[in-house]
Amino acid sequence: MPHISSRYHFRGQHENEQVLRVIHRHWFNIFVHFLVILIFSFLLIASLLVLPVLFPEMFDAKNARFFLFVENTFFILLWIFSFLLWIDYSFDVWIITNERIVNIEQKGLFVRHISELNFSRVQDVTATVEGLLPTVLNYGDVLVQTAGEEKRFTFRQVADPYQVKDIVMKLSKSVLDDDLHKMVNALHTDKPQ
Amino acid sequence: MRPLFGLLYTVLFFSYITAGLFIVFHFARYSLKRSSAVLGITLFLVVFSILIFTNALLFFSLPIDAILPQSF
Repeated sequence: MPHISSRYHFRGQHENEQVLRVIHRHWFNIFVHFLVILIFSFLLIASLLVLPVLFPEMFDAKNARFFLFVENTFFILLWIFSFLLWIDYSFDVWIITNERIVNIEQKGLFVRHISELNFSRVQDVTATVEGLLPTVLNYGDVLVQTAGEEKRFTFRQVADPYQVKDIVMKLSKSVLDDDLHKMVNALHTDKPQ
Repeated sequence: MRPLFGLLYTVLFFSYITAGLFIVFHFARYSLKRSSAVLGITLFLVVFSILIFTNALLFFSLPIDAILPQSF
């Protein structure tokens, strides 16, 4: 499996650990939020162009400056809010390496959860696609049943969940095969002559 | 009234700056790729600086005494 480790690096990455995949939520998830931002921006620009034409008597010199100040304030708030949305989207990430799955969840600016799952603890993987839009756009959840403290590890609203499921299953199986090989070799070494 | 609105605007202005600093901090610290951190920070700061600058200019050019009533 080709790895993309030279481009990506995360905090806590082990020395020989290779990043194989970096997975974000599907683009549609953030598109919906940005659509709201775009509509607000459009309304602000429209009000800037249309209101002075419709109500010219209200827009004398002093009122026009006040109106521009209010519009500018809204634009600043929209700009900050759109970047907060982008941070929430792009810093929510699942990183699949050759050793484990790392889930980084950014909730707002001040809450960040990081959890990891070694492939040796993977018991079962399920991909779920529910609904018209998820089916058409091919996104959904991947649920990983674990033997660890966190019983379930979830990839939420990721693109092509079936492929993600296959990757996790293959990596989990290869780790199990490696462990099996090591056990078999250890048994052969200990076998009495 | 003018000093009161000046004070309120100062609080608002520092809120903008604080939010901006937090956004830049998150991009710088938590981005997985250096190139996306640089791009994100540059894009944010360029537009943010222009908006903040024009906001301050507009506020200081406002005839506050003419817009608001002198007494209640």
